[in-house]
Amino acid sequence: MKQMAQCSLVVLVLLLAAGCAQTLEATKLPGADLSKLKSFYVQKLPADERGIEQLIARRLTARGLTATSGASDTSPSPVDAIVTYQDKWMWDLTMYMLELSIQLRHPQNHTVLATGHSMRTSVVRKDPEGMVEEVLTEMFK
Amino acid sequence: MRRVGVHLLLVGTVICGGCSSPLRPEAMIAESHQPIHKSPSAVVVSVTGGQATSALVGSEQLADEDFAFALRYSIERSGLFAEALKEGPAKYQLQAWIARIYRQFNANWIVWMEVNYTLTRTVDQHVLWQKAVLSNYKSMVGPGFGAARENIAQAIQEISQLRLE
Repeated sequence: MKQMAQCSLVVLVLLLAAGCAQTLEATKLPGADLSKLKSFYVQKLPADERGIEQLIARRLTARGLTATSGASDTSPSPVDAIVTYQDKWMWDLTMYMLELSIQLRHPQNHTVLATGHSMRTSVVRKDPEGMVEEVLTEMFK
Repeated sequence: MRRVGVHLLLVGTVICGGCSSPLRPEAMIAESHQPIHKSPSAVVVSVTGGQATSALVGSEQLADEDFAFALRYSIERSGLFAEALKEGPAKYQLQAWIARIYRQFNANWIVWMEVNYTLTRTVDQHVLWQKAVLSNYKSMVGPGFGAARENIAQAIQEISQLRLE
């Protein structure tokens, strides 16, 4: 009976651990100085119907930076960087953002200057604003 | 009851084992299916941004040296440059930065890979070509590293269009 309880406990811990998975990471091009970037254009992901591009632009603005967003892959006015992103959503009682990746790109040739990524499963979910904020914080730190 | 524990351990091992496979850099060597302009010059190839190679589902990573090996071998095999070197004197330099690798599961595994490439002329450090190449690879059975192979193939095609001497 004691062994059965121990076994159940192990299974429970494994299940909980799987449900609590969380990663947050960022990388930048060697030599890239993100502190010099002051203006951004967030390029809307065509499949995004939740307005994540506006959310990213708002969070950049809240950091004292200039940010606009739109569907075009080029900014209507000169900027220091183009922002692209990919979001992934899952269902667990309600829809929640499972993963968010953000890239900062050179405004002319679109090469990658920096990337950030967050993944949170249901138990440790954050709202989209929280996900955007933590990815940007990790990228700019 | 101990037997149950052993069975659980075995099931876990089998599941994890099914999600990973040993990765050989040779598996990333690209085939060129289109005509390639062949330069008689040599190029020095360097790669940064990678992490220790792992083919485990959910943690796909490539080591710099593994991607560099595949890139150099693919370049030489295609004939794009006469020689692709690790170091030493060469007319051209090709730098690759592995910006990101990520996977999606949507009926099949799809691995995406984005690499910044910069090709410079050594003598004056003039940038001849710079691009972020995004590739993907679908697989029925597991993620694999076909995305790396596709990425290299795209880069070779684009550099070929420069028709370098």
